[in-house]
Amino acid sequence: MTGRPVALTRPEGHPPSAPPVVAATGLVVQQGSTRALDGVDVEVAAGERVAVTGASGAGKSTLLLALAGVLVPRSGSVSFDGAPLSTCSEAQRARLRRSRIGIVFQYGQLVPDLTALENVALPLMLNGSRRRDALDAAGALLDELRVGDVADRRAGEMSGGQAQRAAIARALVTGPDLLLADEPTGSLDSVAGERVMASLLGAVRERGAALVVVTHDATVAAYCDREIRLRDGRVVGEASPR
Amino acid sequence: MVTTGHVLLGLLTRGQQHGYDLKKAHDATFPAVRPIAPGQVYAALERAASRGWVREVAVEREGGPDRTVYALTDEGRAELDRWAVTTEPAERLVAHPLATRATVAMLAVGADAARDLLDRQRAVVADRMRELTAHKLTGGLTLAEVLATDHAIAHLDADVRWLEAAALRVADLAEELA
Repeated sequence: MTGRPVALTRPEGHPPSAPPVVAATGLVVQQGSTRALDGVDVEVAAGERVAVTGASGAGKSTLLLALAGVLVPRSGSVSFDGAPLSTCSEAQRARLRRSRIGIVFQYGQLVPDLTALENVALPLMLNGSRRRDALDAAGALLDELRVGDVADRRAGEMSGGQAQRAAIARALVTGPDLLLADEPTGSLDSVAGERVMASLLGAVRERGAALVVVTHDATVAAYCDREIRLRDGRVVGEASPR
Repeated sequence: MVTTGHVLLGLLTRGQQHGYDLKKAHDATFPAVRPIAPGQVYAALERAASRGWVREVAVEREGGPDRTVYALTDEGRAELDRWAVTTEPAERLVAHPLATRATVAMLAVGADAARDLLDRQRAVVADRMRELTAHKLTGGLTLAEVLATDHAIAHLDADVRWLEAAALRVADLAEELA
């Protein structure tokens, strides 16, 4: 497959007819004898917030990994900012994830030996920022997400909600165009989950980033503009935007 | 069981008030509940007075009709304290219109139509959850409004869970029959 290469830096603003931030077409992913995704089409526009819902095994997390370029589909394609990921090498896709795609998992997955501040600064340092600049940017983002007071704590020394906010900060610190979150409130009680979702939405809106949240929880999906429902690897319903 | 009288006793803990002020306070504190009729307020206050839970403390005359001002008595406070911490019985199994219609669809119209209904109904409920969530995110709500919205969202979430489970059961049933 051919196509223009994916730019690893943010373009200077999107033209009016900008392509979707991420688009999947006819996505088929086979896992052993199971067809995890069976012809899925998805488009997410800049600044849009989309929930992907469905029962266990419906293909939600598989779709997320495919959109992130972690999973290579058997057929179909994923395009990021109009350029197909299939034209990228694995190293290019990894760089894309480090610079333009942020990912948040259910359990945050912070590096346990690092403080919240160091965890958030890490992606910037991996991208070549000076340590001081990276730590300053990380500190500002932790303040914005209201966890600046635990910046010096390690993952095990924070509450679930605090760790999750730090993980969101880490995913956003590079200024990604797309944030992918897999059950981001799955380990939290409902009030802590609400605070994390409100922080997440506020932060992505502030940056104009697109958000895709995978969740089995309708109350979490209700934070998004649109819901894509999966059943047995297929899209079975899309709720219209408000 | 929630009674108007006990709710009014709760509102009178903020200080003595006349019936119309209590009506306004009630409607503002419980936005999810139907506004209370003035006649209901006066009847409940008279019943509460006859039980010694409130007493008349003044009659205001400012141009309009006389307005009787009520205050909570010690007996009223004791009754309120007892009532406010008494549990409500769990709701009995009720035939919700949504469940009834879906059941009829399953039994009489067929599995495909029933599944389609359940999916579309779920989308309707999810839309309402999105509206309520957006309302909550606008901020500036009172605690009473947040609690009422939380309650509405939790009940809609229960509907979604039931609709999803029902869709799976229809699929199982259709497989069994095939």
